[in-house]
Amino acid sequence: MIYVYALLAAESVAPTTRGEPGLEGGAVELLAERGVVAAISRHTTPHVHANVDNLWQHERVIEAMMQTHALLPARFGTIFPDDERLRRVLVHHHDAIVAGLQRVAGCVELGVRVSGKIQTDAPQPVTVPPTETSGRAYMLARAAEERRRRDAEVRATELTSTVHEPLTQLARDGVLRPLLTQDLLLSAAYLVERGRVDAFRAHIAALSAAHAGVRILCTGPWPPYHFVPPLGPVEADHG
Amino acid sequence: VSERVPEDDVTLLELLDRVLDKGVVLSGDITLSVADVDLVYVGLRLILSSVTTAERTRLEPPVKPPDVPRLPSRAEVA
Repeated sequence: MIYVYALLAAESVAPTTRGEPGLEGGAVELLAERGVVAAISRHTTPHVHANVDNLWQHERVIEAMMQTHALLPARFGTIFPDDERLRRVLVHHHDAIVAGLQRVAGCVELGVRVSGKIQTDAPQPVTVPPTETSGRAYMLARAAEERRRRDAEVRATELTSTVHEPLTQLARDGVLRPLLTQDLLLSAAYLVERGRVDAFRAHIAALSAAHAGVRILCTGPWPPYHFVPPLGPVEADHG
Repeated sequence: VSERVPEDDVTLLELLDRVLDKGVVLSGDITLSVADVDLVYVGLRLILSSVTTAERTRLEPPVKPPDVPRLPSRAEVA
């Protein structure tokens, strides 16, 4: 089984993982096909275990290579049964991969999370005792939940204009991410040129100072996971 | 329930949201997905952020918390 970490352009100087081993200690090697290179490791097991150690090792291998080379990070768990099938995919998607690499060249991804309680003039949500099962209590709970949701939407819209849009100006690209936890007000990823990372972080610090009620956290640099091209399926095998 | 997430957990959450949910997908007909990726993703997210109200469940009536899938054991998480 072949495990894929990232796609890169073939260059005169090959990327290295700076001593980082692949998953489960496997050696990371490069498989080149018509100007595109896949960073891979070979395993005798049919799949890799999705545990936190392996997730971090996937990340460390990619981060090591991105110090010197533009790359498209692969999603964790991308495996192929043999070289031939991987080569076929690289050939099929050659142009999209090359265009994708050009888009992220010289950039890193930074994550921004804004969290905090919604400040609102509305009365506190009514707490329904666990024993209370009347229809009225249910409706009160629903109304409180609906009010809280609306407040969160209003706040998220405000933050989009005061936080997301200015940050997008400092980035080559930016995407808003879904809010998966209740206290998260904004979550976004930005594709930032390496030379502008410090300016980006300085802007985050200024935003933090200006928004005392919320917590603004910048993470990264990450490989450009949010800025990879969508690759459609390869045509069914005709041979 | 604390809504604060320690920064190490935030970093792990951010990692999960990237390596398991983003990144280039090399065509579904050949790529074999790791069987337990989805379970690990959902399970770890629940552990890390006490997600009793993920975005899509929030739209449902607040009658009872969503059913929680079997979580990975601590050994798998650690």
